[in-house]
Amino acid sequence: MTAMRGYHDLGGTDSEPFEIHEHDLTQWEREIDAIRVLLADDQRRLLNGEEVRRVITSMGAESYNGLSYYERWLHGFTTILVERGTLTRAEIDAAIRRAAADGTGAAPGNGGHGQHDHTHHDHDHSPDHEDAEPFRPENRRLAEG
Amino acid sequence: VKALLVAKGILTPEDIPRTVEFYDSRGAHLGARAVARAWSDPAFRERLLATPSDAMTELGIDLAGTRLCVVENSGTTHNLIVCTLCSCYPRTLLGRPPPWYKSRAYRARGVREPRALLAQFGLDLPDGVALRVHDSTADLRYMVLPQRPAGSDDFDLPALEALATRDSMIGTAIVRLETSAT
Repeated sequence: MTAMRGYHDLGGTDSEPFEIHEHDLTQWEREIDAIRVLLADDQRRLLNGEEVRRVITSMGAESYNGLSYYERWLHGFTTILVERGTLTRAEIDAAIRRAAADGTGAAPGNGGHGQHDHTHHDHDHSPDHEDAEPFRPENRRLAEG
Repeated sequence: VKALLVAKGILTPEDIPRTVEFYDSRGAHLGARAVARAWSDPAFRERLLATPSDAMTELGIDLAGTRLCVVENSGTTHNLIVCTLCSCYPRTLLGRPPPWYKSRAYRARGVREPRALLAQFGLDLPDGVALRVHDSTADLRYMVLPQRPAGSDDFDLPALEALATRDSMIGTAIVRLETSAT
């Protein structure tokens, strides 16, 4: 049975202990939230929630558990935009480079991370405090690209 | 990505702050309005349980297409809402979900050991009270109609609204007169 279960399908699993944590969303998180809603609205119809879910539930357990909640959303909708041909990977990469260069990088909580070029992905990100975590530059490639 | 979407004319610069503001404006106060009304108007309570979306419209609350199911707590039944697969939540009513609602542990334990989970919220459910856990989906989201607390008979609508907390509408709390701050 366990082999059949998706890594997002957590109901009833013996997870880590539960802790109540509250925090106000950062501006970055609120914008990601808004952009996803806007892309799916009746005017645009550039994606739907099921497509984003499909990306998130097929991204692999390591990515799923390593990225924060809104990082997963960002990865989800950028992937769909590229699949549908709305944006190209090259355009996105160029935009990220520009944002990093002029310091307008849309990373949560602070400016660009252009000077960093971590290619490894680290996994000590605590998913249970995901949204409270500062953005990690090493996740950026996956989250934004 | 944001700048790129704006540069390509897919989003306007105004769209994003307008949408951020919309969800900022959604919150427990909207659900509380429905709860207070249901507590004081039995006919509205019936409509809220039978046709939640229409009942919300009566109060001027537009659920923007969300299909909502309202489940009512009683002296013998307590309801708890969870989304085991992701984070489905009545966000057009109660706003964006709290971080703990999206956490792996809440999603896992909500259906495995819900009474222990509730105890962590400071809610010790008596053995005689049945606990129903509702697993939300993208197509159907839930709100709990909490029990009106004893001693609130004289309260007017604004006073009742102030009692209905976000957590009481998720089912991780009950409404108590002395703890109306959450």
